[in-house]
Amino acid sequence: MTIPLDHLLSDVAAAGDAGVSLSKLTKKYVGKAGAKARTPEVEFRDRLAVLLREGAIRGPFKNGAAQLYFAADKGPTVETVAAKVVQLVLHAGVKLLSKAALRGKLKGLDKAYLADALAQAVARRAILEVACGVSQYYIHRDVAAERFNFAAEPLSMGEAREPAWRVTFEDLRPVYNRLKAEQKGFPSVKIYDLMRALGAPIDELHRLIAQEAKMGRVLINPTTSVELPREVMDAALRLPGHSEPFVTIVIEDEL
Amino acid sequence: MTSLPHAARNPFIDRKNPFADNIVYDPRDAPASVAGLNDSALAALVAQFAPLDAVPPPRIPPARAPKAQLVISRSQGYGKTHLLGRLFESLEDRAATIYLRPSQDPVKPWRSILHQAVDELAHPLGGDACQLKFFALGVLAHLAADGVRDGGVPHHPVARLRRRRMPRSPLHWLARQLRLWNSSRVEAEEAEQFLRDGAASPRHSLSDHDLIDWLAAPERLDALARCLRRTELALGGRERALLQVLAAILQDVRHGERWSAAIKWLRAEPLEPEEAQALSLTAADSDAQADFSPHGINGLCFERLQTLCKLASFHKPFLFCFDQTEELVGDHALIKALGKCVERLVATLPNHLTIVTANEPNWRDDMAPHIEPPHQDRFSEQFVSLKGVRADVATELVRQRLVDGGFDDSAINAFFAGKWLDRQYSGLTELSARKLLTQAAERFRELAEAPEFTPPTLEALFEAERRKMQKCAAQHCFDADALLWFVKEVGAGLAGVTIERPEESQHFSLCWQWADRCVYFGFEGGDHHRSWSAIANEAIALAGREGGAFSARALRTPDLPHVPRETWKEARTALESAKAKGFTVVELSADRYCQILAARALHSDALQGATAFDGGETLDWLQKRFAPFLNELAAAPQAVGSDGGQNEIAAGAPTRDLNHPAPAVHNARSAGSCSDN
Repeated sequence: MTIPLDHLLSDVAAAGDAGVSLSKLTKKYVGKAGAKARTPEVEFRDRLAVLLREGAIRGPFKNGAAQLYFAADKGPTVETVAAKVVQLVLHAGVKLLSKAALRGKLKGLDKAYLADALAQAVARRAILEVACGVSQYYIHRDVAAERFNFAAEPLSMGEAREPAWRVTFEDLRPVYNRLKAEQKGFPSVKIYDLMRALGAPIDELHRLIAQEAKMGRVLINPTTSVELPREVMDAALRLPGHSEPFVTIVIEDEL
Repeated sequence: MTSLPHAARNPFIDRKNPFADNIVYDPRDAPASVAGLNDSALAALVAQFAPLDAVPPPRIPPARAPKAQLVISRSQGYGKTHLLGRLFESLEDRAATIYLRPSQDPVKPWRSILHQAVDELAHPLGGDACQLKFFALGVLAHLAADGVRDGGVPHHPVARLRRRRMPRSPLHWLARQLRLWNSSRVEAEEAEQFLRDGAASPRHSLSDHDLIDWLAAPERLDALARCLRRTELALGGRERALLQVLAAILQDVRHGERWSAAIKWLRAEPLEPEEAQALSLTAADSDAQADFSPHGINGLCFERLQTLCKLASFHKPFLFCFDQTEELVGDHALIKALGKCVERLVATLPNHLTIVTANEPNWRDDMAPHIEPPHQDRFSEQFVSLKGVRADVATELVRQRLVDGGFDDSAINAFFAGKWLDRQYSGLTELSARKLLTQAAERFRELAEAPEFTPPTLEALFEAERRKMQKCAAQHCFDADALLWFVKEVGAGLAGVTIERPEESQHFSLCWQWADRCVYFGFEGGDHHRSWSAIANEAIALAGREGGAFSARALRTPDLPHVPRETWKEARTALESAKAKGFTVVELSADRYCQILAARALHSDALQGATAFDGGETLDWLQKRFAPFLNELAAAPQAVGSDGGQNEIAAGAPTRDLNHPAPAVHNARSAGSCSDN
């Protein structure tokens, strides 16, 4: 018996922060190769792509051989992993945790976010990074304050937010390539789609795109006669000296 | 305002702005390019064409068509049409180049493609020459050369004469003497070479009337038809008819009686008996029937195009270029029809390369999703992507335009002063060509101390287009696609109207539908009495079905003969009866037709981002601009004035101002029609 594809979103949402793998979903909705009354795989893939485009789900995130999907507000993010890291460092007290040790304490996809989470937590001054040889160790600000007997200032949201996101060209490129492949190789990818796929704040993405456009690694393009949704136009990049908003970017292979 | 260094006299004042013209409308008018500007795209297209003429004609079996090439522009103004212009120039001696706008009729797209192809082939290239005459000469001469070689056609006498006159070296003379024992073979070789040389230099050969008369002699055409039948081209028994048509094109002057009949035959239009007689065609050869269904017409047009492509084995391969596909955005039936046409072109027509240009967002988001997957498979997996202009190329492009405009080095340096170009590229590594030229035009105006530039209004842009159309007589030919576009797009501005394509109708392609009435539109460019009888009879049948709220219009352009002809009897009676039921032939005046063509050109410019107004704004304005004329076309039959029992509409008065609508009624020229003058 086939299961309606309408249940796909609720299944992904039900998986919560653990996510659900593509193979599990395929098995459930498409079934085995010889099974009767299978939902055509192409329909299943199309529905998955639609949910991704609409931003209802996120993925696929590679975790070993598995490709995981999460509901839009579920799954690891830099913020959630940073919070876990801060808690781990706090609980360790004066026993310094190395980066490798922290990696060992994280599970699954959280590990992929470790570097960014550490950078964010250090930038927020929630933890302190100290070095010994080539290794980095971390100590919590409250532990240090307690030991040195000074009062730690509360973290302001402004301090916390500003460096919270740091998107790099290395982050951008694989996401761009994925979206480009999803649109059958057409190279112009909407900034709006990149923002959704990266989950990054639009200002940070604009900063990166403007910087890379200047360096020539990214080409930016205005719109055409196709009417675009308002949210797509809102995500467009506006540069001083240029009247028209830039809606899409191209990263050329040879660049 | 930037001040000019050492400017005793400002070199820019009172000079023509060399950057004002930044849009390419016709690929054959494309301005010169500079190195580095989309060179890789051009090279990729030329490389795709190369296998088609890898061997000299005749190419039998015919060269199989490669997959269609999709030329993608990231946005407007990256130079799609300009690239086609450069491609036409690059392949001028190697390809028969056909520039196409996508059909506006999803039921008969092949008719649109064939008619545009024949018009392109017949487009004058100076004097009496045109691609069609070159094509006819190439086919007949190569076929005759094959016949001479194989013994099916007698030697051409000019070859012998040429051999006698030809200066020879002693070695040649000796060789000639040694081969005299086989003089017949030598003559055959020389005659064959003479004919192939003639086909290779058609412009020169067109003035060789002896050669043309020899090729077009009836007994020769019989022999050539036999030769053609022996090839693998399979022309369905129409070989003799086809060669007679080509001979008429070759022998007659442009727009002569035989030329015109031959063009009609090529366009798959029915011939009147006297026209068939002028071409010495039998009734069976005149295969276009006046009472064909739309699918029948479409099929015959496809067959004609297929025949031309097959015969290109004896001439140059075709290059079909579909441009301005922005017009199709939103009309999924037309997009689907384009995909289907490309599929059939690639799958079944030899000796050609098809190119389709599009803006990437249009293609990706609106067109490709409505093209069937098997049809998409006929496009090359690798599309040709246009690039923007980088700063180094921009320097050269701007400099070249200034040099071509007659500016010296000091003026050119002044133009670039103050790091002007760097400022344009602030934060970017490339610009679209049109954006660059627009900025350069602005810079020129600034240097020329011209009054502050205000973009022209839609009224001014429309008038400029109208004047352009009026000057270009070649544009005045009947163009069913232009009229279809007008009725569909501009007609959509009528209050409460729904535009429909009556699928079951044989002769009416569009319909304006209201809750209580409807107006059908037909677009017939022919003047065969049986066609018009069929149109009139269908109008009567539709009127019976739709009831009293029915009217129908057949739009005609000023280049077409007046219908009904004086000699018609049965058709005239049918037209009279149809007229009583609400049918009218609208003969547009030259001015009105120019306005319609100007409206389409203006809308196309807007879609390409070439004006300060987008497509929607432009269409809104056009709908208001043409409102009085549209209302006249939409007027119910009983509301239209009558004169001596003849219905007519006021289609003729040029509408200058919405507040001063055109005069209401004109006298009909004759029964069943109304004048637009």
